[in-house]
Amino acid sequence: MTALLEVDGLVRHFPTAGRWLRAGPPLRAVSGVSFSIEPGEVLGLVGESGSGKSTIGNLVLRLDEPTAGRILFDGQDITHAPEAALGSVRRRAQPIFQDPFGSLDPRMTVEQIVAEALLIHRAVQGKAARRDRVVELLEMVGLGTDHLQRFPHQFSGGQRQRIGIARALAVKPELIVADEPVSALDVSIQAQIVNLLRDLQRRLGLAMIFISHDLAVVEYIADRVAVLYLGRIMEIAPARDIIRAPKHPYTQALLSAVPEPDPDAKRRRIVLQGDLPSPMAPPSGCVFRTRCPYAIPACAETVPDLGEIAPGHRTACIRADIL
Amino acid sequence: MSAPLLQVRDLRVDFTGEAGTVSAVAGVSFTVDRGETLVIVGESGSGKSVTSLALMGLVPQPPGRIAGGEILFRARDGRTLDLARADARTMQQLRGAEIAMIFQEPMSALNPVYTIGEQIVETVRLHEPLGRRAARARALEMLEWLGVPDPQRRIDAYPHELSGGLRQRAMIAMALSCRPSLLIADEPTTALDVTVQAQILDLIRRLQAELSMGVIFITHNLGVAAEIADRILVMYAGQMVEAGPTRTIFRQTRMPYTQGLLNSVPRLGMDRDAGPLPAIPGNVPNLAARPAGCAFHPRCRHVRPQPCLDRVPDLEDCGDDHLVRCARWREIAGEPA
Repeated sequence: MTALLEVDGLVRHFPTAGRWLRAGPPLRAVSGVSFSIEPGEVLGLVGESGSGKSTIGNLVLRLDEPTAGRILFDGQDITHAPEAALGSVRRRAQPIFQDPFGSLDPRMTVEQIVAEALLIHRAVQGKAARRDRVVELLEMVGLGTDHLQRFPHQFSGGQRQRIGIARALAVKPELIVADEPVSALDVSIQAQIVNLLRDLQRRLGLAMIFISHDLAVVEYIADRVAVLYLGRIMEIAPARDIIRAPKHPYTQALLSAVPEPDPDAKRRRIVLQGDLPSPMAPPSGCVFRTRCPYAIPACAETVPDLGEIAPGHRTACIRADIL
Repeated sequence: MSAPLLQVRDLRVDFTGEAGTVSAVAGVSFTVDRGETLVIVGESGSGKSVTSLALMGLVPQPPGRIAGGEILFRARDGRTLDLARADARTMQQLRGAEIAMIFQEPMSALNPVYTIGEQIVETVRLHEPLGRRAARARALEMLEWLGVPDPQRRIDAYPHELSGGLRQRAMIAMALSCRPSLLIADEPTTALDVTVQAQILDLIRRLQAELSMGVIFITHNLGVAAEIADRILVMYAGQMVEAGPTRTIFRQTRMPYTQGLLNSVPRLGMDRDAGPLPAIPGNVPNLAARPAGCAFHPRCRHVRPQPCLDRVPDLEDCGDDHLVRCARWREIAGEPA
C-alpha cells in the first residue's frame, strides 16, 4: 500500500531580525522531520510549545512552504507545487483549527460557511443539491436544519467546533489536519468532540494528523504518535507502546508530568530542569541533552538517529539501550 | 478554635446588562484556613473567576456588583474585615500585602515597559517602608527563592525576554513579595506546557508550606485539582454544586455533574476499543438562560421531572464535611432517603 502522505526530511527555518539591517540566526522551527501516513491512519503529533508541531501541520497543508525536504501527497510531490497544481490536494487535505471562535467568519451563516467549500471545489451542482449536502453534513456532526440560517456567535464553543468539522468534511477529504481541535473547549465538551472526530474518522476512513499537547486525548484517537521536541521527532511508535512503554527520556518526562485526576495516583515525576533552549541556537547533538537526566558528553556530538528498537517503534537516543 | 483566615458566606455577584440582571455567582460559601488549598473547579460561566475577583474587590462596577453575602477575612492586625463591604482604600491596602492574586496569563499582570525587578520593587515599596536598595535586595531574594535561574541577570529583564514559565515565576515573585496570607491563583498553569506546569505546581506547594498561606486555586483541570487540593468546591452555572475534602470528591462523588466531569476526562492508558468517552451531553448553560430547577438537569442522566425541574435543590450535607446540591443524591448513591 502506498502512503497517503509522505514527509521526508522536512525543514522549516523562519528568518529573524538581527541587529541593524542584518538578518539574525534563523529560527529553526522544524529540523529534519520524516514520517508517513497510510490512508485511514491517525498520526498524533505531540510536543510542547516550540516543538514545531503546528508548523508541520501548516507545511503538510501547504499553508506554508518548507525550507528543505519533501512532501508527497498520494505520490505527488507537492513540496513547492504552484497553487494551480495544488487543486485536488487543496480539496483532499482539510484543516480543523483550534479556535472555533476565530476560524469561522462571523458575518456568514452556517449554511454559507459549510457551502463555501462546496462552491470553491465545485463539489455539488445546483442550489438545492448544495443545501441537501449542507444539511447532511450538519447532521453528521450532530447539528441540523434549524441551524442553517444562524451565525457563529449564536453557538457555543463545542457547537462551533462541530461547524468547523462539517466545513472540513464538506469536500470529502482524505486527510484531516486537526491542530489542537479540543483544547479551547470546556472539559465536559471535549469528550463529545473527541468522540465525534473518532467516529467520523473511522466511518469515513479518514487519515488524520492530530496535533495536541494533551497526551491522553492523543492516545485515545491516534494509531501512532510522534513526540516532538525543538523541531525534531524524539520518538515515534504505535500509540499504546509510546504511552505504556516510552523509551525516550523526553517522552518519559512528558508523560510523568501529566497530572492524573486521581488523588491517590502514585507518580514518579521526572521534573525537567531549566527552560526550553532557544530555537535560534539549539544545542548541538541531541537537542534534548541540556535537560536530559541521562545526558553524557557523547550526546553533544552527533544528532542521534531515529532508530528502530521494536517493530514500528523508533527513538532518537544514543542511550536507548540503558533506558 | 480561632476564626478561619477566610470565610465566605452566601456570596452573590450580579451583572446587569441590556438583557437584564444575571447572577454570575449565586450563593457561594466556603472557608479557607492558613496552610490550606481550596480548589474551585468549574467550566466557563461557572462563576469561579468572578468569585475570585469578588474576593479581591475587583468585580468591575458597573456592570457588576456584590449583591449579597459576606467575605470575612482575618487581617494581620487581628481584625476581621468584611471584604464584601470594604471601601476601595482598605482593599488597596490588603491587595498585594495580605491577599495576592496570580493569573493565567502573566503578560496581563506584568507591565511590558518595566523590568521584572522594577515591578517587584514597586510592589514591595507600596506596602513596606523599604528603601530602593533594600527593596531590590528583596526582589533578588524572591527570584532566587522562586528558582529563577541566574536571578542577577533576570532581575533586569523585561517580561517579553522571558519564557512563559519564567514570566509565571516573575509574576508569582511579585505576588508573594509581601508574604501574603492568602493567595488566589486563577488558572495559573492553564497556558503552560505540562512540564512547566509541573514545575509551577511544585513551586506553589512549596511556597504555601513555607509561608503557611491559604490558597484558593481555580482550575478546570481535575488532574491539577487532584494534585494540589486539600478541599474541592465544584461550581456550575454560578452555584456551588458539590464541596468536600479532595479524596471524598474523587472517591464518593455525589453530584452527577462532578461524576460526569470525572468520567469524561481522557486518561492515559485508556482502552479506546472499550467504546466512546463517556461525555456529558449538551452545552454549558448560558447564565442569562439558567435552566429552571436544578441548573444541570438538561444534561443529567439521572434527571426526573420531579423533583429536578421543580425547584433549585438545596445544598445538602451528606456527612464528613461533604456538601452536594442534588435532590436525588441519596437515591443515586443507593442510600435510604
